[in-house]
Amino acid sequence: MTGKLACWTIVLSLLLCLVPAQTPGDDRTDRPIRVGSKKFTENVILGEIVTQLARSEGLPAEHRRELGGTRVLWNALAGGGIDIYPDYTGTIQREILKQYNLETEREIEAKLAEFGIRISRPLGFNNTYAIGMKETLAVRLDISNISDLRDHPELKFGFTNEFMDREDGWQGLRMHYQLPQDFVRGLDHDLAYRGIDSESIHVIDLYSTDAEIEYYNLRALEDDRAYFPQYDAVLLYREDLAGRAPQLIEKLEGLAGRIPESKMIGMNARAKLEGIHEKEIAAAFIGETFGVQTEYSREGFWQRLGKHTVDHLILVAISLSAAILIAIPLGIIAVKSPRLEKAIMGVVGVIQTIPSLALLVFMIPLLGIGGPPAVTALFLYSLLPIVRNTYTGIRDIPVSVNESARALGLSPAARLRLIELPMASSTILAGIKTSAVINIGTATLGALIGAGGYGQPILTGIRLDDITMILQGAVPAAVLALVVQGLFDFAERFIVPKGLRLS
Amino acid sequence: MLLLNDVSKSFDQLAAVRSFSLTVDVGRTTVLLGPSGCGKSTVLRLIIGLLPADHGTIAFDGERVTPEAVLLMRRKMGYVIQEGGLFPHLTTYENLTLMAAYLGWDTSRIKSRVSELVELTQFPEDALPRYPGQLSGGQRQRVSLMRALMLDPKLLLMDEPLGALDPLIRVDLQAELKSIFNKLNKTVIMVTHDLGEAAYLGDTIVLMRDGEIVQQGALDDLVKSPADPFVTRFISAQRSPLDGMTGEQV
Ligand SMILES: Nc1ncnc2c1ncn2[C@@H]1O[C@H](COP(=O)(O)OP(=O)(O)OP(=O)(O)O)[C@@H](O)[C@H]1O
Ligand SMILES: [Mg+2]
Repeated sequence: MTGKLACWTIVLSLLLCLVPAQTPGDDRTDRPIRVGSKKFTENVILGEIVTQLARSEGLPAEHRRELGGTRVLWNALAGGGIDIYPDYTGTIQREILKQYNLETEREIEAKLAEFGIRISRPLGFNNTYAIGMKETLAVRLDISNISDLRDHPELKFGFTNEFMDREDGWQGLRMHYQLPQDFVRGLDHDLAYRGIDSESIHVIDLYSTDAEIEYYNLRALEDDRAYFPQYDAVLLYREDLAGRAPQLIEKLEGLAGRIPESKMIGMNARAKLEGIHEKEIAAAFIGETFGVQTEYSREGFWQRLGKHTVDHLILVAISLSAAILIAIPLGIIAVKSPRLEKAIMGVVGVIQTIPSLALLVFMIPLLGIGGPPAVTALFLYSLLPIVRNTYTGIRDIPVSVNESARALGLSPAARLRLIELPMASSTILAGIKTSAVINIGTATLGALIGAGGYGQPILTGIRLDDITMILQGAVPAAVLALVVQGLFDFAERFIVPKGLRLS
Repeated sequence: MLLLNDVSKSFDQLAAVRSFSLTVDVGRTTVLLGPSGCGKSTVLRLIIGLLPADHGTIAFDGERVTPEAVLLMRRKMGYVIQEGGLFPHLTTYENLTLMAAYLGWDTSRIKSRVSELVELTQFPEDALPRYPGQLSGGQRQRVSLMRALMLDPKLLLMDEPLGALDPLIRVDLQAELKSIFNKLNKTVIMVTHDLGEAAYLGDTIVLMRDGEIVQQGALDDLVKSPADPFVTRFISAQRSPLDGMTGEQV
């Protein structure tokens, strides 16, 4: 009986793993071109430009915006989850391909080709990392070079998390310049600008094309010992795209050198300081540069809300139902088989201790980006409360009830169906409710790996420092959690036998 | 009908039942008596296979009680559990009919069987739709008894079935039980603490101490030729409250 249940659980789990695994690598040629972008404004604008250019060539294209950091985008590109995205030469050389120690452009190109990836000619601007601080403070302390920071160990540094970890980031910089500071924190880039403005931190990393440099009156320190390489903006795309859409590649080569630094800073400023939508900025750029009128749809509030709601509900519904289907049998097995109890409770418990963000990112190499990895991560995350409650619900049935069920001569399967599950139903339902609420909250992180949902406006809102935008994701997510909770309370009346609800 | 041969059961260090041998003939009522914790309930659990014996054999109806055979055997036994053991999520009616419905009895047969039992135990019929949590202690014990009788078992195992009843119903039910036992020729093993009940219902009384049988026989034998001073002590400890009153008046 336990053995049979175990078999079914394994079969179901396998099926579940297979289904999403099929999607990321589908090789149909008529599918839309998938453009990716990192989660900062400049990259989103560039991604939007590529998307609109593709559409102007009559190619179906979709923009998977603000997917995350370099690793996420590179893995997605190499795995076929996206076809093209904007990156920077320094990042490719010093981060993506760091273990190969490549020097020349030619070497880099050859190495990329081994991955089936091609690189476009530079778009025009160099968006290098820079180290910056407030102009007023720089004047007061007489700092103009990075070397000058050595004399001020008391300064507080706040860097983006990516910069903290990157090969060409803080660790290398510290060694290269022998910097003594020990107050160094990792934080979000957009929040760093606010931190430096309020002087809770003094030194941050900048992208040289950031519009905020001027806006907040910051000084980019001279890289006097030439630590940072060139970060020329380029497009990375899959080889097969050249075959599928040669006209697009041709068009994109026409972008080479067309975006000088001043232009990029201007576009960044319009997005971040004036709050103009990236789609509009991209359309204006294409109009000026190519004389082409591109179409872009700007969805209204309700349309956006509807789309996010559908995305979010799909994530939650699939992952939660799968979790229910798997977790209840697992809980039953854990009660019935003392041998497997430790293993099941152990594994499910450990999954829960993995930070949800990390769990999402772990899924990318396995399942690519978008819905499938997010659903899988949410599924794993939803298991514990249901398994645990099924387990305790059945285990805590009074001995006398259990004995009389056995003494009647009911088979183990009939006992489970007629006695144990009904008696544990209210506990199991409570577990499912907990899972659902956790799931709805965690699903907002799905936007980080391209799964959409209510996390999308939250992410964009943080990037653009736009509270209204953040609320457009946070409020519906909270409402959804309440509604679902209400639905479960209502369902309890039908699922939990009346005899157990007597006070 | 039922044979226990040299059966032993220990929980860790504690020997709950020790080399226990007992023969129960068809139609006879055997009463297990003894101080609390002496192993009476454990003997019943061994018979119905809720616990495996460490040693010795048990045979029911000429067949050994084994883990494989016990499922079907249980359907020929009725077990009234000490704590009642009713299913709280089912109504009284559903508690009674669960097994019959599971075995595919048709509704009219189930209904008429319930009516018989309700009459037999004088259970208020309007309480049938109620849940166990809505019954009195005595009513619950009668439901437990009815459930054990539902499938008309050959062997009835009863663990203090009348413990929580008021004296009037108790006396009534003792009479009812006696007539059921006689009329239906049921084989019964019953645990009780009440010597009067034991004497009234039991053909054989089995007195236990620390998992072992001290003496078995009719009450008369136990009174007249006790095998051990413990027998006399146990019997005389339960005197009628009226004895004390007459004693004071003298
Ligand atoms: N599952 C168990 N695990 C450990 N010890 C047990 C278990 N069940 C019973 N015992 C012990 O075995 C002994 C016999 O228990 P049993 O329930 O048979 O006593 P009893 O004669 O029915 O007592 P009472 O008259 O109080 O119901 C007791 O000491 C009890 O504590
Ligand atoms: Mg007992």
